[in-house]
Amino acid sequence: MRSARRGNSGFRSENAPLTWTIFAWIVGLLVFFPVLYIVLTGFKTEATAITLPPKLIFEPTFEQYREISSRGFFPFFRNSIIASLVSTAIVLVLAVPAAYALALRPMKRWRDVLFFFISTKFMPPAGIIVPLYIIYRDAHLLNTLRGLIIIYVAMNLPIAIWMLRSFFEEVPRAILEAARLDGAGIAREMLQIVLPMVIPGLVATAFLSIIFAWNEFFFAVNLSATEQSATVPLFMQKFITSEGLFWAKLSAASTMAIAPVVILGWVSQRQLVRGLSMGAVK
Amino acid sequence: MDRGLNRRDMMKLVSAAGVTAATAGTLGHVAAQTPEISGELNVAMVANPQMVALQKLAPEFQKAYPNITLNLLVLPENEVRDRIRTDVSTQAGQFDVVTIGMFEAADYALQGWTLDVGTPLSADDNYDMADIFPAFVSALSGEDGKLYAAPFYGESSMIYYRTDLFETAGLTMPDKPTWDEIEGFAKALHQPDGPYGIVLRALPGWGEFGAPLTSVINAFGGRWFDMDWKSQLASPESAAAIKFYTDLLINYGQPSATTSGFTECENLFIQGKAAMWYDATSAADLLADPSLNPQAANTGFAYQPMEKIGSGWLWAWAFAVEKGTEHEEAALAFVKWATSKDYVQLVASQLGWGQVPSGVRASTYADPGYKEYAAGFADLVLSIIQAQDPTKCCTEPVPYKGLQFVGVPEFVTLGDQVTKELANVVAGNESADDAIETIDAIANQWAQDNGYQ
Amino acid sequence: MSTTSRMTSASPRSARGKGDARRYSTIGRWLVAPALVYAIIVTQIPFFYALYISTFRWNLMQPQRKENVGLQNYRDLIASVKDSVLHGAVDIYQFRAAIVNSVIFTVATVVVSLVLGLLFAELVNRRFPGRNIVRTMLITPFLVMPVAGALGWKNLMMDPDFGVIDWVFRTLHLGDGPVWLAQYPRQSIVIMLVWRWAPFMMLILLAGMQSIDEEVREAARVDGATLWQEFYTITLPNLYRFMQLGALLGTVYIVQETDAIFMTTQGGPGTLTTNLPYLVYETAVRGSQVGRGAAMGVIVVALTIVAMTFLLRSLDRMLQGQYGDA
Repeated sequence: MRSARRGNSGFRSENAPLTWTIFAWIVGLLVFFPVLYIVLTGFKTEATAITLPPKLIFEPTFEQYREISSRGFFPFFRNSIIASLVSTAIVLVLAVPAAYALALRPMKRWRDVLFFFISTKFMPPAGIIVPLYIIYRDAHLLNTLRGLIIIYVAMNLPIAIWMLRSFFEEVPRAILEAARLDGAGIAREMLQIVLPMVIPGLVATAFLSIIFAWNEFFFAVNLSATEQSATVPLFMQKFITSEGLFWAKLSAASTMAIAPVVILGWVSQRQLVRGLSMGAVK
Repeated sequence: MDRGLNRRDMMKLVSAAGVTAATAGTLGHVAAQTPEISGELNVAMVANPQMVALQKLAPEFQKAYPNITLNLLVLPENEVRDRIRTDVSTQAGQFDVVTIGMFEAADYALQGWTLDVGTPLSADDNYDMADIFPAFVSALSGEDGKLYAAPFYGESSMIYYRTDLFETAGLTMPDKPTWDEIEGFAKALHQPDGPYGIVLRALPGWGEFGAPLTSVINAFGGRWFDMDWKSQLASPESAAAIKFYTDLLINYGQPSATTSGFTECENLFIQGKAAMWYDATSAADLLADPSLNPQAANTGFAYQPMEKIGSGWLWAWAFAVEKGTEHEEAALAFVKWATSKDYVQLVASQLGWGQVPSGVRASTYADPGYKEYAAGFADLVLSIIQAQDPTKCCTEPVPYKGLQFVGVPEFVTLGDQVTKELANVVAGNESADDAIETIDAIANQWAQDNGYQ
Repeated sequence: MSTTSRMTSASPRSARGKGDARRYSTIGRWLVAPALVYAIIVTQIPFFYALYISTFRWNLMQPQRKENVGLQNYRDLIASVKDSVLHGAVDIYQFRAAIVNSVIFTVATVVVSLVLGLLFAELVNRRFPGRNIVRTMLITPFLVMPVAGALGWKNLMMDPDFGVIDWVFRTLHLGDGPVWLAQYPRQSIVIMLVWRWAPFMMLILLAGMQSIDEEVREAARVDGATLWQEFYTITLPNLYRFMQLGALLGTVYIVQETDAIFMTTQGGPGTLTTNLPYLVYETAVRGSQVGRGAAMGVIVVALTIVAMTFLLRSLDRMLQGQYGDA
């Protein structure tokens, strides 16, 4: 029942009826509308931003974007990119061997180990923020990108291990046994034989890790202070002010904040789905 | 699951946790304005318009002090307060300069978390400390009488109203209205689809909903606590005030009240969605600016409403220097620059009078330029601010200082919880009587938990 | 811990027999060690620190009053829940309300997201003009920064004066739309959460659908199965592992949700939108009551462990029972 997974299966081949098409488009547009409206509002003047009926067609202005770029978007953008990419790289370096071992080389009490990882996500961040702040103060990690990266790795590690482990479990035992009979060492088995087979899953895991790190708000707002380490969510916050109307400005800032990851997600959605379909399959 | 960690590690952590109680220091050796001062300054500020203006003028500061690098963190009020509180109380020293208010200043000074800025500032005659309204100086000073935060802008509360709507309806706003009169106006002017009779804050939070609510409670002769720290929220006076406020909003207020703080209310007023608005006097400067407020020409100003007494609030955002700073001189140079008379002139010349930090210096109100810009409200605001005394909030004696808050550090929890509960009344999900019973119990428990009762 | 072994056995392909014991490897331990050590250092040091703090009555603003009170914070919290449940007393620390809200938000969001995610996935799993565009649109909310999404919902969608939803109500002559965040605060939060998580469920379920053999579906159709029968007898049983994964991952994240609450309702009105993590935030960070806040956090960890174990066990039993050896 699993044989044709990568072949021509997957998407169904014949066209759906017209009603199906119309319904799907309506649902898609409804779900997408809030995002579309945020993006559109960013190209309006503050006055048109709040006029009803909502203007979907109007003369776009770049006024908000000019204002925003004058307030130094770049450092925040750079910090976000570094924090999400570096933390994701470290997550993969730590998670791949761990997930491999948990799937294919189980040790004693491996179930407890697996559960331990996920249980580290059960503490509300606010419950440890003061202890963390004090530790970071003494370790000189406050307001550093290093500090944010360290916590983002811990944040995404459990999910990465859980996902990767389920991908590794998919690797046919016969291949492993053949490799072991050939005398392949652990490193060769893991890196040259098993890893290439789960590349799509690895990519999907990396994407998820990047998404979660990019969008993280609580630690960013509490542990960073200046442009040295502040990430995009903090930049956005600047535009919630009581200086008259701010919806258009805020929308423009939101658009810039979400654009990189949204575009990354759009480009990579096929890989995401393909990667996810590897795991969790019996 | 083994969550083991050995004992020695634990002990290390524990000793790291001990926040050392330190005594307050003084910024002694600060020279007069010297451009040679150097250092990197991290400043955390509330994202209010006056601070945004400061952000725009930061290059001017860099011109005066080319060797100081200025990093400004500007965040909405709730976020920045949390951020600053954590940093100051753990003495982490992330920030050199922070904006704090009258609520925190004395406590921080008592704990030795902030530095005496008054002594070095008054050493400079140009700074003219006597020009600052005494109520702010005393509220921002520690028990030792030294000033621990330099006020940037100050505010009390007042009524804003739409003169055109009043005129059309044949109504006249008295100079000193009563809350009953305000209710009558609200009733007469309220339109279900806007403009609403009145817009008021009901966004949960001691500094949001809590401020106007407390000033109404005080005006009605109520108070939060009696001298034994027994809750007085259910007293006939307080209960009447709470019911008045919530009814006013339910009947003649904006539908989005429970998500409306200062910012949202201001937006509604600017959009012509409000016939009246009771809020901070600092909004007057912005509301008079036609480029920000299309209703500027039709905006009227009146004294905060009275009931048994007239009761407004008194607040100043002020710059304090964290004790742990490695750049005392630079920090002080910044504080002095931002709170000086010259800065007011700088804002006026570069950004216009509508953006000046007002409400703290007598000289601002004597300035012909400001007088002209603020002709409609300058004298009114001045007399309102000068009439406020944070040590006399209520008709009955109280064991705390503060007009729109209970001036003890633990109040934040109580104020937040009470305003959340009352927002539920405004939302129409709970009766005022039930909510008053609940908040009364919460307030007594709070007083017990914190050792006041 | 026996519960944990039950739990992980619910995860895919892990049901190995006891005979595996001899395959336990030392090498595995070394491979897991770096990640394990990292997780312990970065998450457990603050956790144990919080555990220690939870034995203090400590308001950050009043350090001189800091005192060790043993387990008093826990006793107070548990007593407050007990009193309010059994004797109708006021929910002094909002703790009971927060527990209830956490359960409501999590269950409602996970269930509705799974159902909608299934619908979305089924919609775009068939070929039609613009399918890729529709799928792209449906994925987007999951990619949007939660803080930005919440602000968009609050200001542009749900605002009773300038929001699009209210305008739709009036245009359709349905009268004034509801004041979402005041009249239906819980529903509003769930709407925002579902908007974000249904696309995530769709991603996972889409992956599941693609792993279903198309020949089986075709065979069913040849046999004259209706669309519903095909969905119910083929698609659904094959997706149950994926639904489990979606429910598990979704729960882990949704239990901890605070961004939307923080940006829109601040936990109110009343305590209607105060969930446990937000209450911890309100207590420990905003209220500076770090001792009580830490105790709340520790209780949250304990409750989540219990809930996750229970959830996985019952999910497992329910689905296994229904679909047999799917």
